[in-house]
Amino acid sequence: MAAYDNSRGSEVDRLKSRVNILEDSVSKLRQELRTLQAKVMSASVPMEINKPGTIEPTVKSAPIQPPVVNSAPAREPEKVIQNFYLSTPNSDGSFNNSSANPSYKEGASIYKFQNTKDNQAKFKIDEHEASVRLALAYPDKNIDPVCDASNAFDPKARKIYTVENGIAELIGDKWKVTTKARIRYES
Amino acid sequence: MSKIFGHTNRGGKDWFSSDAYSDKEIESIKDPEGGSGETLSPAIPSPFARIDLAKTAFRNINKTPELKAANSNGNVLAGRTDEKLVSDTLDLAEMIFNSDSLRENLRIIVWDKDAEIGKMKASSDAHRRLAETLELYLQQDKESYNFDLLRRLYILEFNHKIIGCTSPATLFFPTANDLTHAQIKLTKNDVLFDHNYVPLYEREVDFQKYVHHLFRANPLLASRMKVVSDYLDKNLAILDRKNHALYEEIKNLKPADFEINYSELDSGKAGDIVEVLGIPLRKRKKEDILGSIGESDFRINASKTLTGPTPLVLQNNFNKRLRYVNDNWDHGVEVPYADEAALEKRSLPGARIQYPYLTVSDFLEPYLIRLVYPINKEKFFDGNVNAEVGDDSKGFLLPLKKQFFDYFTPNDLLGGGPGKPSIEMTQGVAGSVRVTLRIPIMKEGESIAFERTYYQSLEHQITKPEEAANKGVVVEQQVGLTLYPFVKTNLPDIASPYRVQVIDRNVAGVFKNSDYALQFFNQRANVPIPIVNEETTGSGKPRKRTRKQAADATTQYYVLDKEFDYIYVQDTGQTDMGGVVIPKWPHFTNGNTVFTFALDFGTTNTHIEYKAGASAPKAFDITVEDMQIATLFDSVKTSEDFGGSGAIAIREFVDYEFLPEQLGGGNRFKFPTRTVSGEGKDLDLNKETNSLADFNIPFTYEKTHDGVNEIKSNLKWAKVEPGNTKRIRAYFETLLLLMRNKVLRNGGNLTETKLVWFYPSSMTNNRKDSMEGLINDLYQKYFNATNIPYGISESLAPFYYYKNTGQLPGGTFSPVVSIDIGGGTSDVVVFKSSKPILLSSFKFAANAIFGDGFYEFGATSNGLIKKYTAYYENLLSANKQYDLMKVLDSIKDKNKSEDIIAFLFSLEKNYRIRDANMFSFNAILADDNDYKIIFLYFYSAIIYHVAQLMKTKLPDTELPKNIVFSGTGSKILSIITRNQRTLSEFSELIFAAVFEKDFGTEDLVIKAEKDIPKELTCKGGLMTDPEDLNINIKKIKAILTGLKDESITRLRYVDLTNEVQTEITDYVADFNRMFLDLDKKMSFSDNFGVSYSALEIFKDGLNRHLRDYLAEGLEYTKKMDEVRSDEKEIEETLFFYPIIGAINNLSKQLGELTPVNS
Repeated sequence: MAAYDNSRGSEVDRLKSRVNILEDSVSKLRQELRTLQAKVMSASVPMEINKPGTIEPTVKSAPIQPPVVNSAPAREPEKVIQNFYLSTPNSDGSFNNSSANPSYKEGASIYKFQNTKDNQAKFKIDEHEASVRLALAYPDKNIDPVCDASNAFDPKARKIYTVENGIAELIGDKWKVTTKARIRYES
Repeated sequence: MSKIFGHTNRGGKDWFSSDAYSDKEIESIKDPEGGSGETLSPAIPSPFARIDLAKTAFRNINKTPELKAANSNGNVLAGRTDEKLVSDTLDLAEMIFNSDSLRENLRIIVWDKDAEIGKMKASSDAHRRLAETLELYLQQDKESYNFDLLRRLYILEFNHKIIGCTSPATLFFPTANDLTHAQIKLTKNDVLFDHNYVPLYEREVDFQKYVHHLFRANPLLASRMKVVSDYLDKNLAILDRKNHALYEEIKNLKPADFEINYSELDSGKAGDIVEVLGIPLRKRKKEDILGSIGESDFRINASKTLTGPTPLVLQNNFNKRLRYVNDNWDHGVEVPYADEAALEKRSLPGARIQYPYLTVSDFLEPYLIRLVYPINKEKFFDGNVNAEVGDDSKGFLLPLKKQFFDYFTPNDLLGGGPGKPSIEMTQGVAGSVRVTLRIPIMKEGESIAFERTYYQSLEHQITKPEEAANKGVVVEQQVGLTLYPFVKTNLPDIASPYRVQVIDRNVAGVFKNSDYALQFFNQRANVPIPIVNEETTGSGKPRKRTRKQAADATTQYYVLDKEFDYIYVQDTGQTDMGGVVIPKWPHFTNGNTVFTFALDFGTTNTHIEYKAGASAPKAFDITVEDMQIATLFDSVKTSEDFGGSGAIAIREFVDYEFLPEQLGGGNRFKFPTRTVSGEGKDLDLNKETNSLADFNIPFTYEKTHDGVNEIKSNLKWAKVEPGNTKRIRAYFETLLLLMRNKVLRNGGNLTETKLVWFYPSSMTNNRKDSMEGLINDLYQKYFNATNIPYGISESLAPFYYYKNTGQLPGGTFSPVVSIDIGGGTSDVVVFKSSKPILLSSFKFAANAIFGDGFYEFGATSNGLIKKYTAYYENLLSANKQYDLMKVLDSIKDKNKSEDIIAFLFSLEKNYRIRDANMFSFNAILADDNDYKIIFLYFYSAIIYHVAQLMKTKLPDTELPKNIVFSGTGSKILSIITRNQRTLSEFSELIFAAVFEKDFGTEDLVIKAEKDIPKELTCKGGLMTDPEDLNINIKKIKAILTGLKDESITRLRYVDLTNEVQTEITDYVADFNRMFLDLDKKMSFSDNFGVSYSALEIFKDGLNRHLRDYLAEGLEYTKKMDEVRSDEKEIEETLFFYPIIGAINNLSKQLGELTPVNS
């Protein structure tokens, strides 16, 4: 009986030691995760990357992955082109990065973004009919905060032509509009 | 090495004599496998060999101490084959005993000895020979196997395969076939026909008792089946040791009770009983097994009273040793995740008993509907969502089936705690969600966990769930839901009006054809509450107010008159799916605070003030503490972009078509609000309509463009026709519901609530009575009040505001004139010593300037509109107020001047406008020197009329000391001049001209509340006892005809002869003359900034067409008031008719004088 007890005791010790090792590992992984999350938040490349010349992505259902930070020093800096779509802006003239979609979504997408350089993107009103319709349905919510119009608002407009792209900067989890897009209503 | 063959021990090395083996020899034969073999030698030359084998097995097993395979001193007493045969025989008996549970699989085939042998004999030679052989054996072995008493054999077939037969020697015998297909469980964990051989004493108690009882009641069996009888005796002896209580029970079984205790067993045909040796076998009574299950720990611990048997709740991988049916739960039992059979037709898994049980799919939906916003957890149960992965930005409809609420109430889920069900939803990777629903069972403290993982559906098609494999599917839908009111009183005696708004914003993708249907249930009965506004009888759905085809969402409004506790939301569009919404109704207490409301239903604006108890009156509000609506989305946590879904319609349509969350204070929407009604663009007024469903009060009007509401204004004076009657009823109903819910949300006493409402003195009795009847009806319906509302002339109340706020210097002994200028009417009351002594009312108010004169649609020619609309369009555009441009556009479409002007006036208070001064129409008009003359003329006309009234009707009364103004139209005063003193002096001049005497040292004081002119009426109404205001105004009401003969105090249409009309226009011309003379006494230009050119135009046109305007005015009024008889009395002075026409005409000319931007 005593022998059995000894064997059980050593097993418990072994398991305790294993638990300690695992807890250490978890702690390290958490730390790494936090570091990565911090990098993600300040990353310059928030969306998937398409090399210049590639066709812009068609419909994809995969959720947006966290930004990929490419910091390889030897690599020649390349012009990053990424397209993504956003919907209603915030009333403070920003967009939520978490709402970005790599592909056009009917009924949701209003703005088309294109990354130009680190943390910066240009944007315009997407040209799909549904995007224009949605923008016009709530102009105070969907247009005013991030666009300036060069002609009178036309609720019956069939197109909204972006005369000059807006510019937005990724600060934290928001694309803060630094320059509003200039648009024109066209019937 | 020599071999000795035989077992007689008589043999040597050569041939020897031998006899047939006796039992002794047979027993002495050594089993080479030591009794462990499980296959029998087939070499027994008899068609009835299995009968013999079974009998022998019983005989052998009886020799063992525990009735199991055993050796003794190296000799096999009973081998495994014996044990198996006995066990299989008992398995057959147990199956038959439980035959009711096996009805679908078990078949009893009758083999009638005489009949079948007879048939064989009559058949072919082969059959005949078989028959003869059988007869031979039946005859030969009749003593050994009781064939003498054999009449019939009953062949048992399970799943279409023979498994055994009744036996005249051992009750039953099994076939030698493979019986693994019949390895089932009955009521215990023992599996029939498996390799675990079970003696009788280890079997289910009821079965043991049955077998013993069968033999006790039928001694023939004991005498003819000695081996079985011995077996029973030995079982009993073992029971005496192992389970004495059962032993005693069996010992005490009375033969006479046998038939009572068990049901008749037939072959499947009624009356065709199954017998062995002529003794009928019987089976377990259904009620016995139900009684047995009645003790199961797995019975659902429902909070509702159930009818019928209490279902068991079963889950896979449950490993606690709880009592199942007649045994503890075997965790190896496989419970189907879905059972298509109706509950009462189900068989218990692993038990083969028809009895209801519940499994995952009975309570959990195959689809989990994810929303595009987080659920408002304060007001709705969110299902305890735990975001292990992902975030909490999206909520879910509860994936509960309605059947869950057959057993539990929504409060059980909300309250939680021991013995209550609970739900938990854990978000996993790739959009998956694990839902765990714990169902309490009868075993104290125990519950069964129904768990289902829902996996994200494909984006471009709806993934099919696999309920049998317990795989659910997560789908995302854009649907919003709002309740009104967020109050549940549980008081049966008061009305329970509810409205539920559903916003379907699935405009694209796989759900674009979504079609929602809501069902409402209360705690007690799990049957849908009928909705009041079904589109068609039995449809259970109301009609759609707005459709996706025309807007960004489809809306529906459910009208209910009963309280409810949960909602089942079903989408029947593409694929049938649904989920549950449970409101967390706030605690309600019926308090004692008495609320008093004052309602001013104005031509342009409507206002409500209230006071709780003795508090000061304040504008009606809905604050964060007493919100009346409950949106399913969390208005604080939901991101502005609704998670990037584009579904902001879910938020916007609440304001557009329903009711804002908050009103008043610093909120965008507040009282006073425009008196307009909103309705769907394709509303069919010939059908039954409801407030806050087909109609709403669009607080968004003039503030944002919704594009979905058809706006109807001029409710107060609208033509009497069914559509307007419905709109006005809905308007008042909404207002009264707002008041009612204010009381309920704040612990007020509903029945003691008081309501004061106002009507213009110029309103016809018919119209006023109709409004009064409507208000009283609604008040009674929703307040169940002990008193009736007080209807008060709106001209009386403002005076009391000024009086009670100390704004009448020198007291009220001297006459005080109260002038209420509304949009459509002005009321004048002269007070003396705080009592009204003279009252007059006329349709000459703000719309005389801002309206279309005597035309219903005259905006295109209205001077102010022409001058200022384009200006404001540019101003809005320059300031990027696109939404307000849309608002203006939509109002312009109606071509009603007063609506456009009201919008322009409203701009400075619009929450979107930052620079109020720039947009202030009041300020712009105050600087418009061309138009100033119009305002001055308007004001003068009223003061002149008041002075004439007082002079004529109150000849003994001195000049007034104070003139107090109220009503939205009184804002005109600040357009005329910002200097109150100037206005006082000007007014004194008019009075002096009429009275032909000066004011002397006593100055006339003019009082107006620039910022709250509309609110004064309500405030005044609440500042005095309403009963004091309940004055019969008819007694003090006077009309100034304008005729020289002052004895004529009333005119009918028939009295309006040419001469009379001329006399009236002369009277107006006199006034015009007096007015123009005032310029000489107090220069219009110097004092009011009137432009010279405007004055010239004015002078030139003032007296033109007065006669025509009078005629137009009469015609217009007759039309609006639906006067069908010229005998009808004219209820107002005609003095203003020509003036309205003149203003309208001059306005056009003045508008063209100076462009607005110069």
